[in-house]
Amino acid sequence: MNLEDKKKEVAWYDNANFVTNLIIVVLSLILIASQSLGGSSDLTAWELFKNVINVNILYVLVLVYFILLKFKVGKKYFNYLNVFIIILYFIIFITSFLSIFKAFDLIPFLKLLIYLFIFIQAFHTFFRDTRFWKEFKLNNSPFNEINEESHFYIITIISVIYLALNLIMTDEFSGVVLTLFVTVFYILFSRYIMLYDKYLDEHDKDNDNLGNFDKFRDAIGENINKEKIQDTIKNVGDSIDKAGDKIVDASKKTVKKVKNIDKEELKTNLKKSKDDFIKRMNTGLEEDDSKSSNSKKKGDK
Amino acid sequence: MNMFDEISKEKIELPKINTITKQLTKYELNTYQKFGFAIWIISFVLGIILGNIFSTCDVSGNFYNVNCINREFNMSVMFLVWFSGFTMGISFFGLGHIIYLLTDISDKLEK
Repeated sequence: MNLEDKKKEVAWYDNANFVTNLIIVVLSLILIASQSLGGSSDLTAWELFKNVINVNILYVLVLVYFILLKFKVGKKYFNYLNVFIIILYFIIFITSFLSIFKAFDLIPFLKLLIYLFIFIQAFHTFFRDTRFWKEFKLNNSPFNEINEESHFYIITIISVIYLALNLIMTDEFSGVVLTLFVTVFYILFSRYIMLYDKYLDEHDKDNDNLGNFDKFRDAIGENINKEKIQDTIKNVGDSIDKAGDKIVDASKKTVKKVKNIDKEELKTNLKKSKDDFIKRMNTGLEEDDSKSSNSKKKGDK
Repeated sequence: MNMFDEISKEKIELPKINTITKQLTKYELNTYQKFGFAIWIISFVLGIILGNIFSTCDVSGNFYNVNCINREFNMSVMFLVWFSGFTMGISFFGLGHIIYLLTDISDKLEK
């Protein structure tokens, strides 16, 4: 199988483009469904708007984040958007923590855990490729030991339990629909963060490689012509040997020449060249003097 | 091309912490600006406290149900307090900046 075919066979849950598109669709369905289902109940417009702020503000802001990623602006300010998402989930985590004191029940507790793990996963993933990773020494964080897949599976399991409990408790169609969509969103968002973490792992340089290239050998595949490679290596070796022989011969010749130089002849030649140089200097100075004296005489006249 | 490949080509790096702190500490704030800043901090904390006190019905599993089974944090109250604190704080901050500019002009005219 060719490498190109291998690349094309990425599963839908490993394709970041597909996952982000799916997240946008799910969030849109959550917002549309919550508004349409709320419109059928006996609530006033102000109460509906309050419910939007109370319940759906998180989904609105995350939807804006993913829509911006589709445009150049979002891609350029990707790190800034990630900081915004981390702060948002931190605030949501704090508010859900305070909700525990109001209603100590299993469902709010599960929500708290989901937001906590998403916050930790986002914090340790989105800052990895930024300056803050080194400045704050985030690689020393204990949560860094947790694998990105473990984060995803933890959030998935908690979300499924949350869904099950809500389905047991709910007695309305709106509850079933919205809880399903919300659970799917939690899982997809965690998957998106995991895919980014995987992408960073693939693009990190392997500085601890002590010469083991098995990973690269497997990645190249079986379509290499070994004989051709061996022939070219041999040819390169031969040409290097030839060049080396030529260099050795030339150096031997120069060494011979240097040894055979007559020292006394060399001394006389050096003395001759020195005398010639001094003569030229003196004649040049005399000519300059004569020129200057002639110009003075012309000036006097 | 992978989405993250496109992003890594285009994205810009976050500023250094030193740069941010230098930018923030470059200016000397006058009394009104400090008061505006204090209003922001107070409204931030107050929003969280009031959102917890005036809690709302939990909607998990029972969206728009008349019977309130659980109560949870009230985001609308929090955002209302934050928004009002932000507008009040920024008006004081703007007033302080106008005063700073006027004093700067008067100092330059005296010279």
